[in-house]
Amino acid sequence: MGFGISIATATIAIGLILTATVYYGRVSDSYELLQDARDEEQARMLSLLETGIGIYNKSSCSYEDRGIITDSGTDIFYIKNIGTLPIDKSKLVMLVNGEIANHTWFGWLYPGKNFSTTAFTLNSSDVVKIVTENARSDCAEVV
Amino acid sequence: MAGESAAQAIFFIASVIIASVIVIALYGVTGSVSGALVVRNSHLADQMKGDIEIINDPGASTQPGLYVLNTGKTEFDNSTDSIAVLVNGVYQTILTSNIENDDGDLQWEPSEVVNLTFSAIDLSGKSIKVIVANGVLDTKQL
Repeated sequence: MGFGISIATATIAIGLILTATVYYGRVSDSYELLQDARDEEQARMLSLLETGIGIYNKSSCSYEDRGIITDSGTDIFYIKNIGTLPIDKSKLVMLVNGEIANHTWFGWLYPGKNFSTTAFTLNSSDVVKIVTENARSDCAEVV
Repeated sequence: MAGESAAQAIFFIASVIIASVIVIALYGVTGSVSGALVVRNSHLADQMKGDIEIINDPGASTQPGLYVLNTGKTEFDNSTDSIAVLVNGVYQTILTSNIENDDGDLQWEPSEVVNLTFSAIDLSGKSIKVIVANGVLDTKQL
């Protein structure tokens, strides 16, 4: 009887070791995937804090964060990187009066740098909003 | 003597059978639990990697549709039946869900914007909630 119990214990032990071996790899890979996703999420949060964009020639705020573009007839305004990360200009989304306006910008906008655009026909009371690829934005009103 | 040997043999076989049953049961339960963990982790990882943002300008006098920017690291399905939109808590049927700045592959990838349109509804001043397939969502007051 003692021998039988020993064999039974050994069978259970071997079974447990096999079970652990078979499933450990799968669960371990899964947790690595989760860890990578968490790292990516944290990196995204960090980039959100470090990204900033502004419409440069707004002179004051009319309401909320909305700035003012002077309706000078030239349709010119400046877009400035006010964050600490470079911004891919081709991935900027421009909204004029709430509607996406196509642009052909490309290249990188480095921190502290700005570029001017006359790509959009603007009239008084038009509203302009610019959005980065991670949804940081700024907006202004033409007055 | 022969009877004692037979009894020992029976105990031995019974012990091995019981041990085998326990191992098979443990193997099955462990497999089930680990399988569930893998599926849940995969789902959580997808949710962590994905993110969306409604980028409409609340100050605009009209809202031509609902612009949703993919701000995550994974692509989403932009078909109309994969996205749910609630306007002031009421489910809306999406008419079209076109990618505005598609790079040509017709996949809703990071940094691309989907324009969701609805029939005869003014979104101005409304509370909007957009939910994509894996539960990633964003809300905004327009």
